[in-house]
Amino acid sequence: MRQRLINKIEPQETLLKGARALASNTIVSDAISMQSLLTDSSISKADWTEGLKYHSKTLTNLLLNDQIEGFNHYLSTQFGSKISESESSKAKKRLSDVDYRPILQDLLQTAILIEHSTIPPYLTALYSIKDGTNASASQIIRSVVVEEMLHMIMVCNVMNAVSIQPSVNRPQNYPTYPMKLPLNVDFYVGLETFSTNSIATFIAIESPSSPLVKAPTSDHETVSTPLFTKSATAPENNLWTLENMKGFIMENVHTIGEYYDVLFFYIVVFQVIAYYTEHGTLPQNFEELNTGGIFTGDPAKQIRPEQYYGSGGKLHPVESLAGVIAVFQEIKGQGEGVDDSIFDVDPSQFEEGAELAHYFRFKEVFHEHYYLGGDYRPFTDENGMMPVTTPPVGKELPVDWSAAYPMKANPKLSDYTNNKELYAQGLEFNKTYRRLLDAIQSAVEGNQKELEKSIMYMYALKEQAVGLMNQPLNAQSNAGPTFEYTNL
Amino acid sequence: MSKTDNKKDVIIVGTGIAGSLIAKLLTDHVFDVEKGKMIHRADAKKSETIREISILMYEAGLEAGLELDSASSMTTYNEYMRTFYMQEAKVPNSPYPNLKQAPSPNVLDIEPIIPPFPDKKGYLVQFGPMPFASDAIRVGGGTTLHWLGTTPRMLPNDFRLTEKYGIEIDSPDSDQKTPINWPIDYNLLKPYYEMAEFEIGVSGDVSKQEYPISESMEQYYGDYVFPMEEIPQSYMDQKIIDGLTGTNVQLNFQTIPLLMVPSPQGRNSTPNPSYGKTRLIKAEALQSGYQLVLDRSEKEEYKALGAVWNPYMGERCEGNASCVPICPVQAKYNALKTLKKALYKMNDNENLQRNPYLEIKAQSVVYRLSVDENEAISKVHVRRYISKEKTDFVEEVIDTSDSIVILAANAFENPKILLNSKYTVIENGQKVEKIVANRSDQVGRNLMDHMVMLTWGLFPEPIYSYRGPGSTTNISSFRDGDFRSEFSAWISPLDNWGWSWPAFSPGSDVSEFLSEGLFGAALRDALTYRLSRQVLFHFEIEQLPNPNNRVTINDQYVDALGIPRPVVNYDLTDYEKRAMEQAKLASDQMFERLEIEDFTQYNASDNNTFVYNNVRYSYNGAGHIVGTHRMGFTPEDSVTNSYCKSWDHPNLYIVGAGNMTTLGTSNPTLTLSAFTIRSVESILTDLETQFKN
Repeated sequence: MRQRLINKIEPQETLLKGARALASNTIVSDAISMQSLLTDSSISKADWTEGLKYHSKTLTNLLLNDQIEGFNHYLSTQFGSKISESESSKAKKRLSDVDYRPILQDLLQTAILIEHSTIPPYLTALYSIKDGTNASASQIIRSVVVEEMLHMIMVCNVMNAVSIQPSVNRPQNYPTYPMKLPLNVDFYVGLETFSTNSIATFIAIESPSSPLVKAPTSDHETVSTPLFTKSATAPENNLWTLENMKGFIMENVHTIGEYYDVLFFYIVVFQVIAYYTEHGTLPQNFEELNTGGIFTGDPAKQIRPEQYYGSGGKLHPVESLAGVIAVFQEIKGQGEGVDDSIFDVDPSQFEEGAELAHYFRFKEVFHEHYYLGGDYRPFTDENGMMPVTTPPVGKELPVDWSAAYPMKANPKLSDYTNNKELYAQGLEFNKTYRRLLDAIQSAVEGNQKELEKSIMYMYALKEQAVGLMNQPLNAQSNAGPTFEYTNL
Repeated sequence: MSKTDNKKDVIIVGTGIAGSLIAKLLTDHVFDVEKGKMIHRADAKKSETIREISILMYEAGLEAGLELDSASSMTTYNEYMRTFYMQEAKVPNSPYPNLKQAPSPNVLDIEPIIPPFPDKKGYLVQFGPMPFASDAIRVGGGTTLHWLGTTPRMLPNDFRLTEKYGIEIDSPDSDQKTPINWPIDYNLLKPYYEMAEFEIGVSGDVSKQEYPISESMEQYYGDYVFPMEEIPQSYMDQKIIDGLTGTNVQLNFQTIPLLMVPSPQGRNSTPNPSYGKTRLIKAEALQSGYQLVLDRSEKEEYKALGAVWNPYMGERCEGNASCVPICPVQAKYNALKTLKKALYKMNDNENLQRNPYLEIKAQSVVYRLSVDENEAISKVHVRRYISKEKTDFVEEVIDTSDSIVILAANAFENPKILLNSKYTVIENGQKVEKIVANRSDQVGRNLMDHMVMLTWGLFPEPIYSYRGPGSTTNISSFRDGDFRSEFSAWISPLDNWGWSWPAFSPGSDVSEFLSEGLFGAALRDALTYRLSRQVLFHFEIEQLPNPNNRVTINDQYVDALGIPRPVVNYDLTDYEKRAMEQAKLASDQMFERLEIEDFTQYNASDNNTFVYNNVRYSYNGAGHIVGTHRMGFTPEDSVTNSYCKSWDHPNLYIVGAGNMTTLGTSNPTLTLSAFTIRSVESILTDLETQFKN
């Protein structure tokens, strides 16, 4: 099935108009140009942050929506002005000092952790459903969890493409529950049985962006700070540091989708810097930016579609920026997707064969109805928009909330120390999980064949998890899988 | 009685693989009014000069089985799974609704017949003397829901048994002999085999196919690969191959070298990169008429087609090992996949949109056709039952004088409907009573099945049975040869599922050891020893057409809706019995060579058993219900022409395995798909004429 980006972008004309306005310098704008963001050493942290907000949004929207022409135009307006000789050599020197590796390693590993941290909770809820019950709900959770696995592998592909060794099986790669996602969020993710509570958490994980990040619209004109005249008093320093870039995320990023937007922007920035330090000029179009630069990885390490299947969506190998775009489109399109408090009620979202974003899939379970075939006119405003929170009102989706094992929330292996056999069972589960991660690790190190083993481990995981969930721990609750790191 | 007014261009009876293929191919084409030609939807520009083909399909099975949107189809299929898990006897029909309003033949109903009294226990009324041993299911998607999925093509000589081996059979009710060559040959069918293999999604390795034929494999397959790579052969297969490679079997006449080949099959595996892009089955207009081609202009890579409700489920076979009766993830092809492609078409968003020109009426049992003065089929008579529980029904008639009627209801139902359709014409001032499509008196005759003789034993070392799809390897050595002038050819699939078929293992092993007083570790050890060593060989023996093996109807035997039940007369001849004797010889020699301890037992109490040359043989049905409306050369020798079109009526097609002139040694689904696809060329030609008038 084709991937779909639910993200509703600003109409291209508005963007172009904005960009043209920036270039011709006739109207003032609220954000400094991309060129200044990169080459101007004198901008303040505040300007840098504002610039980041604006450009990460604009650039990401263009590229992740396949607006290559719009992007080229944007580039030419952003990189159009001349850089003085002295500025240029200073900038080049400073930018060549920027090492993208530790920064991208940190941020991409965090992306892997984000994807990884959703998998055990989803699997736990899935396994806790008693066999033969809740077929539709199981199918929906399964469809989401396999996509998270796909995302994890694809982030590994991105890392390999930029010559950074991905890691999935070390102790620090394990999520610890309950936990907060490494973003600006205020809910906890944990290992819980299938219930309205756990599904509500899943909806929160996949939830669309907060109103804090909004695409720039006509409010350009209301800001009166002129372009290129930003706080000249700022000390000359490099703002492109891991600390700043991460800090930006922790403050401004509230959803997984936004995280990928910013991460994507960072990748493009590093690719621009690489181009600049190599050529001494800024790239003028997508083609110049697409290959080379930071994409120095060994193609033999890429996991390819023929090695991965049956798990939601297409796996994209990454050898250039275009590959990164494909990966991020897939991840964003499948996840929460939506980027505004309302979205375009494009009826195609709810058509047969369309892939509903995870957020909506979980809402279907929560509200016990499908979206497909529902009448949403009562929820729709005069512009044909409806709130993302609109519940599904299509065909009934029968859910038996009681047909799940009463598993203790966030169990730890240490909870089982009084029961030798249970402890051994719990340990065995963790070993299987470790073997699964080892197989993935080996695969992303270039032994793609190892991925086949993961199928076997996935079958074993389910059986062992259900075995644990069958064991009473105390009067109220049963044991469950703990997904903790273990030595083999 | 209610009348449906809105006219349809095409009426299809049955939603199994034949009906679904036709529906899919017809809905992929539209009529270009300006050019006066049928064109593929992909080549049609948005314009008002396009006319869609309107189609109505009837299905006897339940409504739920035909709701193919994701949510509904998953719910229904899960219900099939649940039923399967609960059933004690996991026979092929076990997961699917057993309907009193549209009953199905079931292997559980088969019992020995004591002539002259028929066996009436199940849906079939069996006069024998040998019970017909196969089942089928009347459900949306038809019997492909529980087929095994093995898809060998027929061999060139299978199409010309008279020409090649001098075999002739009796004409109905006379001593005259009739040839049994097909009106088409292998080479003619070859491109349609490729189309069928594309549509079904066949996995296999062309380069490993080896058959006892005089043609080279280059001639047989040409420059060709299957859409998907081979499903891995099982460990057991490897062990047997190791033991038999390079050896021969000595039959009474001939020494035959053993060829063990991986079976091509309709279940998903890794797409073959050499197959490349996906394809379109497209009609190309000829001077007159159409030719279907496998168009290669598509840009998308070929992709395995997963479950009807979720394309990411079942993209590969997972080895659930319950292909028959049900693949839990739909990695195995079933006709619902094709039907969904007819029912939904890609819209501008590249999502699926319900195709408004195809209507499916479920719970509708077609039981009779009427004929007008031009010998055209003028009406289709239907009984539509209201609910699963009740036998109340609505009588419906649809006017078909301007439509094409296609019977695709299987080799029991098609002749049953035809034989129930009597009409009177005035010839030379005399009233003459006729039966629809039956000028040749061949309707219902030549009922065939493969007789599956099973031999089983214990391998000297563990070969770990019960894993993987039912069969991944077959011995092709006996599929053709000079011996065919004396006895049947056969194919020998190796079976991955232990003794489950002949002995109901592993349950029967548990009972046996329990009754011996074993328990605990000793019981476990005994089971481990036996279950890991169980091997089972099939000998699927070709049955010749025989006019006296037939389906008839009789007013005395009707179902709950008052519709006739198939009355079956059926027997074996020495041609097949002798083949079984020879196959047992082959089995004995192979067992000896592999040091398999033989546990085969044939008993007088078996349902299908006989004594030949003082030795008892028993067999099972293969589920290959074939031959009751054969295609042929002339209106005198057959029911249809090679395009499955009735000789007697200008607007009637009869499609399915019933068209097969002879059976060969292949599982029939692939072949019936191939010639059914070909029949669409003729249907499109007829529609062109219809639309121009």
